Amino acid sequence: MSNSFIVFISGITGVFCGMALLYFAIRITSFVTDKIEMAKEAKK
Amino acid sequence: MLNHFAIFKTTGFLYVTPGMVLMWFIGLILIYLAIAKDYEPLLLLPIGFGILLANLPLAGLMNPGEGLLWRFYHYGIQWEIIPPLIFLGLGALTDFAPLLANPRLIFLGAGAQAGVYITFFVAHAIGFTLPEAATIGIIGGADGPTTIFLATKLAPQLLGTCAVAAYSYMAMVPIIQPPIMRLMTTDKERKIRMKKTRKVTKLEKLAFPIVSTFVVILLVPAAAPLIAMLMLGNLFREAGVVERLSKASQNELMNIVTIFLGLPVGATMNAETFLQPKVIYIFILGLFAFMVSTATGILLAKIMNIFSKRKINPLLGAAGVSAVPMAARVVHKVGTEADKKNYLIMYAMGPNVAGVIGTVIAAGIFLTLLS
Repeated sequence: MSNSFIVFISGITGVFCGMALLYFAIRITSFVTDKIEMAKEAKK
Repeated sequence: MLNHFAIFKTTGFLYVTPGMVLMWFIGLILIYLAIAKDYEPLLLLPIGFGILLANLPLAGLMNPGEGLLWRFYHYGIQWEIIPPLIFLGLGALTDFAPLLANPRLIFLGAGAQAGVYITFFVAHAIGFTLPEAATIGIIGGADGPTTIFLATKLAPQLLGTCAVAAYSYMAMVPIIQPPIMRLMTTDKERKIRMKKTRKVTKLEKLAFPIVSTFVVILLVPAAAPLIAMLMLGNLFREAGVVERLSKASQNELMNIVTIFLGLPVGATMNAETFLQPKVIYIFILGLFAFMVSTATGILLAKIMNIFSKRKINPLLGAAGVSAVPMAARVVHKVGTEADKKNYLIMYAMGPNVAGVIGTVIAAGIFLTLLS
């Protein structure tokens, strides 16, 4: 397999994996921050 | 008489070459486009003037170790200071709320990066080296500072050409993208209205830059200089307690580093390095990269629609290139042509800012594999 093909495949896979990881990080952050906000509201 | 001639020999007039005259012409075209056509004037104006300065004989402004512009170039760009500082300002200017409100749009920012890698593959196939091909491919990300950052590390000889190509095509987003968007979508698809998104809390906006810094740097350490500064700038913005730092990053600092970025980038373009046949290929491949990035973004949105109940307007995929906010505005404009009441701008900002992160990751992967 040529070097350019390896970079091509690794690059596309890397970008999608990176963005997928960021997606899940955002979802988890949203979940946690929503819970914190709800807890704050409940205290009030 | 002899003395007069000796003085004349110390002037630059005797040393002007046809190549230099041609470069003056190119520099003047960029200055004209910046002033008369308003094409990315903040960058194209200093770049154009830098080209003029670099092609004046005997001035020595780019002489290694002594020239003024060489010092700007060496300490500002080669030392990786200016592109990350531009990212600091960019982070302070960017509101990530549209992305946080609708996180799945982040994938459209990734989809547009496929154009970067396809162009890389094509550029290498037609004879460019792997580092050169990567530098040309990243033009498709539509992100000037990232292009400059990568070019400095992988192919400094292409820095000026790739920077000018990137900024020129970014200015031409309203011309390049709409025909591709119309070609790849049906009228029905362009009329798809996005569902109202949830409200993003302040705490979430505050957590995002910290979380993203961890995720991206742990995944692609080579992207650290850019992503760290981008997220620090955004933290300044969202923290709400360092308004002075946020404003300074957005305005004064951003303006100063823009001057010191454009001038030396233009100055790298002397007649010997610029007037080569491969420059024409770089401009063609840069345009190709832009077009393919737009197309792959739209294509990914259509693929996501197959698997999703909540349909995405496929035009949003075109905003995955990181020309912020121009690409988002173009999406909105093309969307309103199909349906006057379809307000896509806020939704398009999601993939648009995701595209910035996507391009940084793409550049980081190139650096990891090729440097």
